[in-house]
Amino acid sequence: MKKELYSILKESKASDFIIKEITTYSQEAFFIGQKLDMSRAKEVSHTMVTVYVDSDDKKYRGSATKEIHPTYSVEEIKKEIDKAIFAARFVQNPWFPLVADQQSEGNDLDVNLTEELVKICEAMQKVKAKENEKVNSYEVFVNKKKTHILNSQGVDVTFYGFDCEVEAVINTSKEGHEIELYKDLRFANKKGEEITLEIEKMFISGEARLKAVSTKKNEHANVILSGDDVVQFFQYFTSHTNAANQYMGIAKAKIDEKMSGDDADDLTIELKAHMDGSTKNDAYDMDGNPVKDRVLFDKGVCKTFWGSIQHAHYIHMDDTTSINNVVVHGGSMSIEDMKKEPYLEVTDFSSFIMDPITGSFGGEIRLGYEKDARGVHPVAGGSISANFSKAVKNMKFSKETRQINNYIVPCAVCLRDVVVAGE
Amino acid sequence: MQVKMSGYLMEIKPKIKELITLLDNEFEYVSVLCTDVSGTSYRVGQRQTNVGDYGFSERGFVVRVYENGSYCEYSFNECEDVEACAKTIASVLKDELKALENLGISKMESPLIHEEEMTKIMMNEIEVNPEEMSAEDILAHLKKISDAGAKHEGVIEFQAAMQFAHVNKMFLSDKKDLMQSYAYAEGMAAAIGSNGEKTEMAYESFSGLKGAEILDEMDDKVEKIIQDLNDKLNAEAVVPGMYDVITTPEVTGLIAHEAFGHGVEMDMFVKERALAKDYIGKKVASDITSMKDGALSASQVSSYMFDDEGTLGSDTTIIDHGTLVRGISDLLSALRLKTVPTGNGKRESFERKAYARMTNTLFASGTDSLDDMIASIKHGYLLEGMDSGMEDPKHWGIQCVVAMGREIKDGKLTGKVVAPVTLTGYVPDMLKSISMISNDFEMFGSGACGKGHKEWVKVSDGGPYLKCKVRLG
Repeated sequence: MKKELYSILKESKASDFIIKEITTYSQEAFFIGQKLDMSRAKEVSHTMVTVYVDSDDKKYRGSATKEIHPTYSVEEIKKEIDKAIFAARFVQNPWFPLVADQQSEGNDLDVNLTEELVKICEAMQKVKAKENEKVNSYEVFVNKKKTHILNSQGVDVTFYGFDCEVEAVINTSKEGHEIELYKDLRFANKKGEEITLEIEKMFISGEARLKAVSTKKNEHANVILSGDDVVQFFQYFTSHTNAANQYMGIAKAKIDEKMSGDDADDLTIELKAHMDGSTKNDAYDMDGNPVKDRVLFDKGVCKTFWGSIQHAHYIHMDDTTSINNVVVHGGSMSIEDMKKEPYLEVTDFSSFIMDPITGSFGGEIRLGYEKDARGVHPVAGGSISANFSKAVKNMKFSKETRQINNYIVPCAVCLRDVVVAGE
Repeated sequence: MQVKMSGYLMEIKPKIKELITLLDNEFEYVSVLCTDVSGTSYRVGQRQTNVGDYGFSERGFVVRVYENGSYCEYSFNECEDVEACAKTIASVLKDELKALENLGISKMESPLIHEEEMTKIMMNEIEVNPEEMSAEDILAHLKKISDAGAKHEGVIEFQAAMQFAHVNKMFLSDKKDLMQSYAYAEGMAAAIGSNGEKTEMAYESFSGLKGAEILDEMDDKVEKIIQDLNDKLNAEAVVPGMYDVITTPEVTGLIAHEAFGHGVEMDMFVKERALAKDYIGKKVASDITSMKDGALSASQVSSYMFDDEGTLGSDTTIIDHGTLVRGISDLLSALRLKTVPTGNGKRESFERKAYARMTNTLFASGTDSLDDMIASIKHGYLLEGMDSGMEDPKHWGIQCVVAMGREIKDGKLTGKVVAPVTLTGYVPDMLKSISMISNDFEMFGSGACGKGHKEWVKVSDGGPYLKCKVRLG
């Protein structure tokens, strides 16, 4: 089908085109408690085609994207391509070039999906739970992907990827009161023992939540964020350096300027094409552009932007990359130092929400730890509401860092003067 | 005009029946869901225009089989040689299950599905078929909306978008032969603006079992979006605390969805993750409160004849005058709980597992007028616009982020606005505090709902204005 598709596109009125074909092989197992609920497998192939149509004066480049299903007949392919080309004629975006002259065949991965699935399920079956603890349910996914990108400007690259996901829910109970906690682990190469340990750690949080009292209302709290949501906190800064957001006029980062205030820790963020254990190690992005290492922020100062070839061209970037992996450097304080004064540490939100446009962030507290004159005690309920316009002035990052899939981030972020809704 | 059934599904039907016959030799139960969902999305802004496939477009198959006391599924989207396909499906599923069984894993009790003979076909109606409308006309209409919004002072970007979906599904098994074809449209207009200090966004969404006529509905909302944007830019932070509030139908829908919609998805009953299981027949809301969900409960984006497991859709009363009556269920959960499935087994796509999911979730209308409701409040807020929500079926916590609150003092709107507003609380406390319900009714079906943090499906929700007591932050 791909050969026919390529010839149809070559002979069409499209000024340029790109074909992205992703084939996914997957095996999945679903558990209720430690009992198998369902097993699943899939083999699917998706081919997305984008056609580009230039204006006569080459000032504008319209585009339209369409999935070409493997079950389409040649006539259907022609009809869909014609429809896409027709629509692209009425899209007047400024002209931009496609990635050109990239070839790579990649190396297929020697992965046995059934063995990988069994390895993870075995690790989950080994999770030790005390009398008042239980694994409620979990879902295991192992995926192998082959991606082939082909365009009319000499890009013909193939690359392979493998990733795993475990979504787990655990319960702990005390005197008839049962609570649950949720974790979504994504990884490429964790050992069985590491998976078992990560799930067992959830029981410690569960114990704390059983003892939790209501979060106290405080309009000027010192808040420490130390859960997996720290990743989303730092995504504010990657969002504001994104070329599309820069072009749309909604990004605040400026080259050679700081986004953070003088009282805040300096922000150093690096983009890495490769990170051990990450599920995001593709050699090329979906434009066919090689993914590169870059420094986004160095000691607080914004050094570069990142994004698609289209938006990079619009904001006059000579060279661009997409994001695979992100390293946020540690800050000035140890976690121990952060905890010297009274604080509210939030380890789990019901749902942490960060809006890069308005800068608002926060959420309902599912588990936290409050330090007051009486000591440290677990809390739950209530919510925090904050905004980056204020947070960037005083945010501090822990010296200690940790890896969460494709991010290495400070273990904790400390913010001052945060509004906490509680009792 | 009547929506046309997918020619592809009609053409592939004999092949799929052959596949079922072949797999019947290997398995006790076999069914196949075939999907052909097409559509186009158009988005026009001041700086960029995009045309692409509708986000939930798909064409493929999922086979469900019963093997050795368990259900197994295989998703695929190519099947040229039916015999080879049957062999692959049988060997992959059997090998995978065997490898798991070799670990000594025990299995959930999974009763065998018994189906009644059923042949049905459904095709819905729309006014203007966007598939027959020129991309030029649609883009020009959206550009007009974008330009009308962008000319206002302080507006950085004004985007107008429309997408159209043509859903075709076929469910085949030994006993069932079900086909449905329906279409819906969604629209969105959004303004991003700044006053130098703050950047905010305001939007309106549109949806329904409609065609391109949705574009005309969008024209009239530009001025309201700009007004909302300015209100948000000038908004103050809410002082955290408990307040009397009135929820607009959009926020009412969000509460229905997050408060009790997720909480009564009965696969959560099987997992003992939902407190609602122990409250069937008990009071969970005030006497004037009734809540429903179902493919037949409203005409919106999740109104279908059969779900993704071949169960006919229904109109389920969840809360009847304050009493929790029942939950909503997929087929396998119903088999395990020995209840009747309600036609709520939905998949993100043919590639994903089916779960118990909401369809059209709503609070029933009451008899009060909005004016009387506002007049009854000493100090509180009229909550408008939904941003997001998160469920907590195990503990009945609720978290909803609402676009803004309009202050009410001594029974009158003061013109003061607070934003953004996070609404949190304990679900039964909130539902029991519902003291007035308006005689209005409106449904909203743009966007999608996830289960946990994945498995996105189309849903709609809504209802009337509600007066209740909540914690705002």
